Amino acid sequence: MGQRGNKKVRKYAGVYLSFLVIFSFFMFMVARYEIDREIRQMAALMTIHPELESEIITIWKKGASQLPFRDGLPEEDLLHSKKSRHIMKLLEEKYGYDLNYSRAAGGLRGFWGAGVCAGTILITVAGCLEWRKNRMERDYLRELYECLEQFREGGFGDVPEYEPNAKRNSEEWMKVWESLRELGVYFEGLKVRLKEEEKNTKTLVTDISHQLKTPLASLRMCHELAAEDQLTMEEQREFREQEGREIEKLTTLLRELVNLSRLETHMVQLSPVPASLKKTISGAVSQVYMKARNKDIEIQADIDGDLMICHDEKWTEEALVNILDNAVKYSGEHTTVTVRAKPVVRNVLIEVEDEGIGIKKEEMQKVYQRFYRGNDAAKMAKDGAGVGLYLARMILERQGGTISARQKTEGGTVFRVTLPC
Amino acid sequence: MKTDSSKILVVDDLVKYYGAGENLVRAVDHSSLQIERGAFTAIVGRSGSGKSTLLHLIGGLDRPDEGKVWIEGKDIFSLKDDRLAQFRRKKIGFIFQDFNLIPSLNVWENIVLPLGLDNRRVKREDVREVLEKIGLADKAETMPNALSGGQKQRTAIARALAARPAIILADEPTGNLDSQTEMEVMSLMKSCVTDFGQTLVMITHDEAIAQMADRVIEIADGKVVSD
Repeated sequence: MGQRGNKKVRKYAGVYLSFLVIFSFFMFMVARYEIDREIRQMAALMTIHPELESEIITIWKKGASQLPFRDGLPEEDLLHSKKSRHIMKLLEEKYGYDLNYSRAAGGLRGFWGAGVCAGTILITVAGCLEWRKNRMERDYLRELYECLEQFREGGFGDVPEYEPNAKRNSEEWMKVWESLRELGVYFEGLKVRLKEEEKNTKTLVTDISHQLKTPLASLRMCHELAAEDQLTMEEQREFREQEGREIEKLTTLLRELVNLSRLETHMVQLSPVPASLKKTISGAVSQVYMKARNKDIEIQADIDGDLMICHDEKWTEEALVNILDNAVKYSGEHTTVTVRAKPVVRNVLIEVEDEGIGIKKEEMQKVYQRFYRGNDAAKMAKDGAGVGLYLARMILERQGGTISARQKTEGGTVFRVTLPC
Repeated sequence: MKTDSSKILVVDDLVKYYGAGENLVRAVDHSSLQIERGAFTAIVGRSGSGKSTLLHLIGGLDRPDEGKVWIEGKDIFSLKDDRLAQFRRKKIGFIFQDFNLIPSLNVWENIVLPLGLDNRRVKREDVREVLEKIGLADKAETMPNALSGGQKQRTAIARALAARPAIILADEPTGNLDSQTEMEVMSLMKSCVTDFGQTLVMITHDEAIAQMADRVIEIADGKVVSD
């Protein structure tokens, strides 16, 4: 502060000194001009009335204020005449210039003093104002610094709100503070999201190991039973077959879980590219075709032309397979599953309609939860980990799409999927 | 009370009663909830459950009898009316069932109107981007009466999005639309909310629409009954 304060004082002193010099010089010039004028006027008078020379000198010596009102005086032109120049010379010789100059200047000295005083006051006021402004700026910077320190320590959300006070706080400062506050709120959000993601990963690991325990236990049981000595060949073959089925189930589950964890932990990024939606839908249908044929379920597809939309083919197909697989799994034999696709403004609407068991109203929200299985669904099909719709929703939403289900009045479910074009 | 600032919206013990004596209606009866940034929350409930009143209070359209609402850490009812109106225009986007478009202004003008009211500079490219996203790029000069219901609601969505508010509040946005248009509006709303990183709180009685939300809050008799 000391160094900078001195510098400021020096700056102000400098400004004041130069003001003093310039002002004094200006006043001196004004004084000179005034005296010149007076002498010229006097010279003019004396040119016209040489006989009054001594009177004029007397009057002039008394000062300008005592002069009678000068009327009808021929001015400038006379000053340049030979005669006037002569009188001026005479004046100079007779009375001397210097004396007169200082005399006339005396009249202006008061004026000069007032000017200097006004200058002093002005410069002091300016100095005070700037000092105050500087102090406020320093306060602002200190507050900014404190806030940034707080950010560094992780306290993003605690930026206090500013009371609107137009007198103390300029609008710019309020804006700075407001964006700082918003930044803090944003950082806090990021921090919370990060923590949540971490927590989510932990739950995911727990959930997955839990999901693997049951099928592994039944596989182990089969294996141990098959290893018993007292079994007939027939029984042994039965257990081996059972073992095979359990392994198959475990493989499917593992595949689902790998997909899930990959998507969940952002290990795979969806890369939507323009591609034929028809191809993706046919791909999905063909994957569930055999399952459907086994139950004599007909899959109808009704697609409006060939829609080229931006989507990740592989994962979108996976999502649709999950929805179609459910439709087939939870429908009775000899029913129909219909797939429709049509453009809606800047989106495509894909509908998957079945004539199956439907979803209970209170379960509508829950079916998208990870590892959730509806009561009726669990009764109807033993296999399934409650991953399908969760995955489907994640895949679709990551691409800016939506999924929602509606219970049909005549039984069955319609899944409606949208994807942006 | 110190607010948790990761929550973009905090509603604390909100109360709003109408009428008196026999006719006392407990529209909002000690409701509290918190909403996170970037989340899509659906508020469901039967008609008359007080969900609309709650939304109006959250949006600062009405003042509560008791309780507080914080939006981005700001206690909105501590603001005087004119400042509250200003805050509302800047931080809250509204989408209503009946669109609330100004009939004498075209689509573009309707969208930039709230920006103009606060003398905010209208970034043409931003508005264009929103119009593009919402599929109304070729309708900028059209008057509202020449639009279909879905297009009107999309205009209202674009208007809410253009101001880049902290939170968007929607009151039955598909209530007046048929099933197909409903999907059209909802899919756009959802993808826009995702693309622009917006927080959306939406009232609906539609089961299928509530499914699209990240979170569903059920209201009955002015109280939060399930979350």
